[in-house]
Amino acid sequence: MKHDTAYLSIDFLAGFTIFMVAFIWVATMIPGLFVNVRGTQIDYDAVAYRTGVILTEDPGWQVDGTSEWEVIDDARVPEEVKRIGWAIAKENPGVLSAVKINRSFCSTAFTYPESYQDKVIFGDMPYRFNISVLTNGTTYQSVGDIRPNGAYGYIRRVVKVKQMSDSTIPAYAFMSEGTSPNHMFSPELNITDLLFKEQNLAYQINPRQESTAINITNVSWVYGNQSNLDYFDSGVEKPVGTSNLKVRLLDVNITRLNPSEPLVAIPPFGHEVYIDGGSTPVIPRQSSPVVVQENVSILFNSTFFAAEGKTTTASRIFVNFTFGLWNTSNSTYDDGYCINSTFGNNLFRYDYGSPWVHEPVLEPAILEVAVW
Amino acid sequence: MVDHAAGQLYTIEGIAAALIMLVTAWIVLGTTTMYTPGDTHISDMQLEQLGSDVLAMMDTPNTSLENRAQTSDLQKFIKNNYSAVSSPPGDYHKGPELFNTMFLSYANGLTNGRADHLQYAATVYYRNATTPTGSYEFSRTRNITPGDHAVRVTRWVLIDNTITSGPTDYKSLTPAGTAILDRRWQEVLVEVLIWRG
Repeated sequence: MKHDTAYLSIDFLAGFTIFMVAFIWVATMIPGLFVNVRGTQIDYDAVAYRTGVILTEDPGWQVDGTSEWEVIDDARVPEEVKRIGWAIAKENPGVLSAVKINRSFCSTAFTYPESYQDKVIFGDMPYRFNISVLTNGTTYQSVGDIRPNGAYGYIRRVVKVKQMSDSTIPAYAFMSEGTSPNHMFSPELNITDLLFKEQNLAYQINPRQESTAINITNVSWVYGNQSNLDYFDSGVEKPVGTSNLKVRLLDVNITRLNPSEPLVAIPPFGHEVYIDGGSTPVIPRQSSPVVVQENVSILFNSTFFAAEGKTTTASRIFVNFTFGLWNTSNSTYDDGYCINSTFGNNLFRYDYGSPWVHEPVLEPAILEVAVW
Repeated sequence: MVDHAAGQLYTIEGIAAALIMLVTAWIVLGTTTMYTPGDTHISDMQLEQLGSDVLAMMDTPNTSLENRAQTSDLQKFIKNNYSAVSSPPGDYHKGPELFNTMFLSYANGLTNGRADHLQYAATVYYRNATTPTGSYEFSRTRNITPGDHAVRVTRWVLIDNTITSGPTDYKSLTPAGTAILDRRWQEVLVEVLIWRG
């Protein structure tokens, strides 16, 4: 007992062993400890990732089981839109529909933040978020709060956004071959053909789901090409403004031809058009014609043709523009040359490969999702 | 016994010490945020997703016409990489240059209009009648250094190398001017290393 000062006692060994066992136990728990420390951040990243995947790779889901949630009107959105997805189709991940994107930022249909938490963020927690898209470096759209300074979950996706198609029809390409008192120009949209010829939804022209536009340009060309009429002053063409000829747009209406059905007009009877780049639409009628100097534009928004009773996927649509050559000297409509589908077989088809049609183009876009 | 007790630890003291050390360790671990190697998979995943998005979108044709001809931007860039003649017309020989511009604009783009700072190095792997497997460096922002933590993304790209004449015949050459791909449709593997720098 006198020489025990340098020995380790049994007591110390027991204590040290307990410590070591505990230490090893703690050490094995370390990865789990860090999960606790960073758990929320990992969760935010996962939610941001999931939201990014839903937006870019899923076309969305509505209550009837299809993915055309973007056509549902404001009042029915809360009940009937189940999931907001932007993809054109599940076969085309990363190719987004501009119509779906625009619809999802529509504040009359979706309330912030509940609608988004319910239909795209998901999860039990009321996550805060910011979703933003920059298309082609110019068009910025976003919804959500300003991102916090601290940590938040994040994902960035690179996508392409399908733009609408449109057509630019120069008057000189569709002039009547002879003089005529009636000038009806009827561009045709053959929906069956459009859907059949290009079946990849990323490139398809689909008037029933996407906006379409018809622009008739170079109308002033009509003024200088009236060989039978006296619109020239000593052989020199009068300036358009002083000429006694006015090209008037008398009516615009739309007719539909379905298989084994007669041609019928589809409402509205008399349609809004934009004249000479003006920003206010006008409705030309026989009783209130509008004078056209250079161009006429008509825009059909994405829901127009799909509306109940208007068209089916087997319809042929004719957009009928009725022009008149108004002689201000004697206040009558003259016979002459004008843009015309019936005199000269100038049928214009809104179709793939037409030199006057701009087919849908995919534009690059960046999508960022932040969740906290 | 009492005289010689100096320097000895008793059981109760050992347990107390153990508890104190445990509590200390627990507090230290609980109050600091440590970034363990296991967590890097999140930022790696983000970078991989971005890189694979960029390659996928570069390989997505922009129009119906391009889709029917099976010519995406990425296909054109790889096909038209170097010119056999010294000053060819058009952009046919500028594949790597155009790839660089487009890759950076896609990968570094932020929705607020600013730019991220990602670096990349792209390599093309191929095989032809004479080379079982070969590769050449296609385009890069700078060399990767040991400190850079890169992720790797790849994409198989289908190249139409059947056209034997005309202005598009500037394609698939090494910088030295030797032909790389055979005269046929073939797939090459594009590998891109991406890192923050």
